[in-house]
Amino acid sequence: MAATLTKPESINAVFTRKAGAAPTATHYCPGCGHGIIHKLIGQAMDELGIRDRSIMISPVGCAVFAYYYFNCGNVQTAHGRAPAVATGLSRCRDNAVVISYQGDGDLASIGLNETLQAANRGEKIAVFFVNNTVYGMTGGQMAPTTLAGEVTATTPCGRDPREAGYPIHMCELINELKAPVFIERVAISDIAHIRKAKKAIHKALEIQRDGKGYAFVELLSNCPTNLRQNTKASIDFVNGDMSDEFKVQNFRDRSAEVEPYHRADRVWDKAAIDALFELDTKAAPDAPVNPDFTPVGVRIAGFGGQGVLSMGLIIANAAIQAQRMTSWYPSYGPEQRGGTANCSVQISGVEIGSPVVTEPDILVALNRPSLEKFVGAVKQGGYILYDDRIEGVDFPSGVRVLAVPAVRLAVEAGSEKAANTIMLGVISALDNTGVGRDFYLRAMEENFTDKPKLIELNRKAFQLAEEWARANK
Amino acid sequence: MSSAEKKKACVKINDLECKACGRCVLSCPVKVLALGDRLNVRGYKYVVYAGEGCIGCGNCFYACPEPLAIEVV
Repeated sequence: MAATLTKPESINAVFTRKAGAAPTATHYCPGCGHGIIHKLIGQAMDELGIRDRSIMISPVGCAVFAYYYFNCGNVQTAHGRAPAVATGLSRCRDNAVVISYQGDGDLASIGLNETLQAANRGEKIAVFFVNNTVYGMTGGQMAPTTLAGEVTATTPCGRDPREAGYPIHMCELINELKAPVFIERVAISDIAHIRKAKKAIHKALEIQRDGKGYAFVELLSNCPTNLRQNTKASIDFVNGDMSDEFKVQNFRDRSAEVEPYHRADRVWDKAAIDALFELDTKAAPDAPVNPDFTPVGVRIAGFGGQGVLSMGLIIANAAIQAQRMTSWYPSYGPEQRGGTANCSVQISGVEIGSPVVTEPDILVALNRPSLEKFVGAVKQGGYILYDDRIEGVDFPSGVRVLAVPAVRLAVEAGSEKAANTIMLGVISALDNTGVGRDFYLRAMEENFTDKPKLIELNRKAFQLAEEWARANK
Repeated sequence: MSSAEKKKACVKINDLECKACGRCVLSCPVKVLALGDRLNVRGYKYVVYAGEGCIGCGNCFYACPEPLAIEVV
């Protein structure tokens, strides 16, 4: 025991962020366990020498103002989101001691998913879960941990498990996961239990100091105000009914066998990211703003599997290489094969708002249902390119219609599957998209980088399409 | 720590900060703390030390929720 016991250095001497007439008192009700837990955390931070490495995450709930009190880094988060924020902090500052301080409503209700996911990932955070079986700040409503039969503002006849379920046991839930290093439930009740809690808090922070992983400490605490108990009765409630439901025990301590896990320094500057995604070698220069450029909208539609979406991607990649503002937007059904698919490609000289092309300048239709669906939407003066095997469709006036022998020419080039390349070659030959022939050809070849055998076939298809277009457009 | 040094440590109450919850009173093994009759400026009947008998165990410090209300020095 220390010779003297005074306020920990890690707790501020004056709470300057706190408004009001009592800048040296906490905002907690008399007898509340939060202040005790704050002191225990502060003391452990002092003992471990981690104050300058520590980031406290203040939750929503009574402890929302934790940042008044702790003399360390602080982030106040939205309700239940502490694990996500803690994850971000821990991962971008590997040396940080990240402390998530949450109540039962915050952690076990709105934040339950994120709590379990962070635990399952073994994030390097110490979670201090203050369970007092009730929503405190908002006025004493039922919490996920409210005991069966317990009276709260929203369970005036006592919690009925048939209607409101059973109290959630967080330690037991988390103990089902492999990753956590340390899990313990303690009680902030009488002095013997408080001293045990001190050890668990110290251990959880020691694990963070050493970078060993996830530590979860559930602290059974009291709420004299909302549960309408005096101090003695509230302590007896924690030691009695609460401890009967939530067993005070250590569930897991793997701290001795777990090795520290330190993430290597990662550089996230632009050059590193460009290299990672091969943007330094593959990306085109940024597109200049050019309001004089007449935008072009292309809609390509057909059966899934006809290469509708990939043809759109090839056009989009060609336009990007040609330094145009470009968007590609697919639309397809749930079927893996056989459903209809279509995509929109926009080529523009200015930033694109919506990527959907509702009135295309060029419609490419590879099957009858697609042609019928979009034939009326084509802009006046625009082009309709459709596979000439489709018969009996009426076309509106004022549009230019090309019945392209796409499948026939594709077969001639070597494969029926190259019908989309035939259409691409025709679009290139129309020469009205502001994207030159070489860009289309190069984008098509890049599309088949992984299947080099197909490049020659598609190049031939592209040339056949150009010849046909010159003769027929 | 020798027992002689231990005896030197004694409870020190900062009556302004006490919210009169009584947790220290409940935790004291030698019953030398009690809630008083006088109000502090914040309106609480703050805890008072009997004046002698403190063994410096620190229970009251750990039981007290207010960071500045009670120390053992």
